[in-house]
Amino acid sequence: MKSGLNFIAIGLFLVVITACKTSKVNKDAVMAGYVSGNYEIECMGTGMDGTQLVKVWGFGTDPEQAAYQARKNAVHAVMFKGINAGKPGCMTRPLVTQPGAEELHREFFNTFFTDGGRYLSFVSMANDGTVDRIKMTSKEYKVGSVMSIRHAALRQELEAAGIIKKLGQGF
Amino acid sequence: MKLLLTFGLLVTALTPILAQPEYARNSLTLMAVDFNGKHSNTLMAQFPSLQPPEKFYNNPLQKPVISMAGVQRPVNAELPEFLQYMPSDFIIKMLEEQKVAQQILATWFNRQADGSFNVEVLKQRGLYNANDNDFLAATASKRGETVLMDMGLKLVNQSYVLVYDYFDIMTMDEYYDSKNIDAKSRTSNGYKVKAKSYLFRLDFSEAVAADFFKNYWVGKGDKDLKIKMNAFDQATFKWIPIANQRVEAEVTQYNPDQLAGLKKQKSKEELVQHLLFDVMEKVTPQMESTNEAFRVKAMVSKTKPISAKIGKKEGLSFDQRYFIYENQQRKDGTLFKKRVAVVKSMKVADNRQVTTGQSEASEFYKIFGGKVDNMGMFMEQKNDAGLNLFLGYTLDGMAGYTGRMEYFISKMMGGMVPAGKSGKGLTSLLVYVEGAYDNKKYPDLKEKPFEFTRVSLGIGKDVYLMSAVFFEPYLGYGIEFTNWTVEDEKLNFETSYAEMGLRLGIHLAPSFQLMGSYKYNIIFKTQVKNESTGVTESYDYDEFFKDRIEPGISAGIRFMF
Repeated sequence: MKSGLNFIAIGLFLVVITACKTSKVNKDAVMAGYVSGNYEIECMGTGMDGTQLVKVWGFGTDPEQAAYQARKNAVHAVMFKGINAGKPGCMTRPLVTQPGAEELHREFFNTFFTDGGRYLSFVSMANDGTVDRIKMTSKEYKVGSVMSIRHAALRQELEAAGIIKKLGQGF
Repeated sequence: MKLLLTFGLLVTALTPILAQPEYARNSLTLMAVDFNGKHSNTLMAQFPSLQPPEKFYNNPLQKPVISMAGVQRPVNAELPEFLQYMPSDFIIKMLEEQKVAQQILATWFNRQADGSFNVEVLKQRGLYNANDNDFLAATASKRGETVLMDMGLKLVNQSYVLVYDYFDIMTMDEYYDSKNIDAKSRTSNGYKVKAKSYLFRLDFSEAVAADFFKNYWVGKGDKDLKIKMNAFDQATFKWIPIANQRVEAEVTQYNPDQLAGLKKQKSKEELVQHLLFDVMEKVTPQMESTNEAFRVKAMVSKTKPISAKIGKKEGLSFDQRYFIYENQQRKDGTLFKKRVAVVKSMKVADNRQVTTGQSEASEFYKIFGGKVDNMGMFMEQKNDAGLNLFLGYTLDGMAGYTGRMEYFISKMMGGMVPAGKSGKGLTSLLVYVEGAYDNKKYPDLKEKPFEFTRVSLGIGKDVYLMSAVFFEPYLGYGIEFTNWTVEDEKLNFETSYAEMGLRLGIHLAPSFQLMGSYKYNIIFKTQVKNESTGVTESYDYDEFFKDRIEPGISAGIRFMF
């Protein structure tokens, strides 16, 4: 009987440890690097020439971190997702269309999206700094802001790095 | 057709952005129903000059006063007066008969003499409504500022009409007569009035707007101008009842033969204009408290000091209260706003122009709550009356049960703050009236206890050094009364004193505080009047009640209204 109880106790302990670990992994999957999970992005109308005007959301343990993540998400969306929700006027087709390109050029993108990295050259706030903010839990914030992404310049950058083909190439 | 499609697209494109506080300028049309009561013609003669507060666009009517002479006011006379309101249907019928919706839409769509519409007013109002955030977001888009002009369309659905019904209008002479006040006490002249007001919103939702552009919109020179003009004039638009208000107001001036009376008295017309304005000033906070669309909201733009890009354009006044909120998400995914802090304004920016993206911000000081940041927190107008009530007990000195009414006069001092400067020194400045009662035995003088009452007047200022904790230096003047019957002779004691001290308050909630205070008195001579002989003599108070000249400590609770 006693050994049975010990067995149950050990089992419960392992379940708790596993649950904590899983939670940490999920959190990391959302927050780490440019792998920002299933973020939301919507078109805010037609931007100036060569730009995309979007509203994008990011998650973080504080509002600053979430806003920072939103910038990465904005550039990431133009590269890999396209802007399909919201008002008309944005590019619904992503810049990188080759399947597996993100994995193939992993080293480039890791460097590109590193904190303070080159991606910041292609995104800027398109308002007076106002952001939307939702406190999801005691340790998680969701922040949305309107941003302008220099998609034409971004295309040139990716072309120069050999990640996408130049416009007209292949015709 | 192209125009219709454009507007259709705009209506769908102007969907609210999730989580941002929604505030856009409302428009207000003022009108009055005249049941031909006593003096109503005096009020109604001045009513057309009454303007809505500055935070509203004005959609004036050609005929703002509707005569109801011979019509019985449709209220349930069996109810107490404060519950007697006219039914909404009655007012809506009148709004329809007077074609009020047509007149409001004619203003919005700048209807010309030939019956054609254009979007000039819509553009102007859209631009004036925009804040820095709207402006910069618009300039980042290909369409630029035209996006802001289009935003004017959204504002049409925020058109309100406020219908006044003034009653029980009295001159001060009539009031004195009704109270049998003797001629000597009739010191003032002027008017007293009661008013009920009824707020309605014109429904110009997406479906109504689409119908308007399809069936009634007509441009200059359009071939079906006459047909659509007639259709518009005959149309019926929907009115949505929002809220009713009740206020009482009076405007008086001392008679010229009084010491404080001015030789050049205000005219009857000027008094009535002030009266109408006073009613409007009292109705506005009631409308704001019951209608969220009227409460100004803005993002926190800076934290040191706490700032927001609102100002006179939004009707912000000095020492006005705002709550700061943060959006939070429940487990079921729904959003709610949680109060983070309570602030009051100390610098009001004059932003009454079309923004260029560099608007000056108004500044606030925190009176309660936690840390405020400018990463998505927003503030919302939460009017307070500026009245406080303290209830407590004073130990030592002039002890007793103590009550105090306070009023923040700082609310009226915004005009003393130089333009562009912070008026922090004038914030939370108050006047107070304090009263106390004590019942205490002095066995050396008589067996039965003495009854003491005192009243004092003074000024103070709440100074916030940290969140939720403030101190209040104060200074005042008061009189304490008691009496003593010795061998059938009644002696009335009247002791005047100056009081000064420091109160300390801790906010337990935005409108509820624990307060303690230390009071030091400077006691003047006690006047003892013998009621039998009429003789008054001066004494030192401590000759009778030595402990009452000592400093006192009080504790209690304060409610803010």
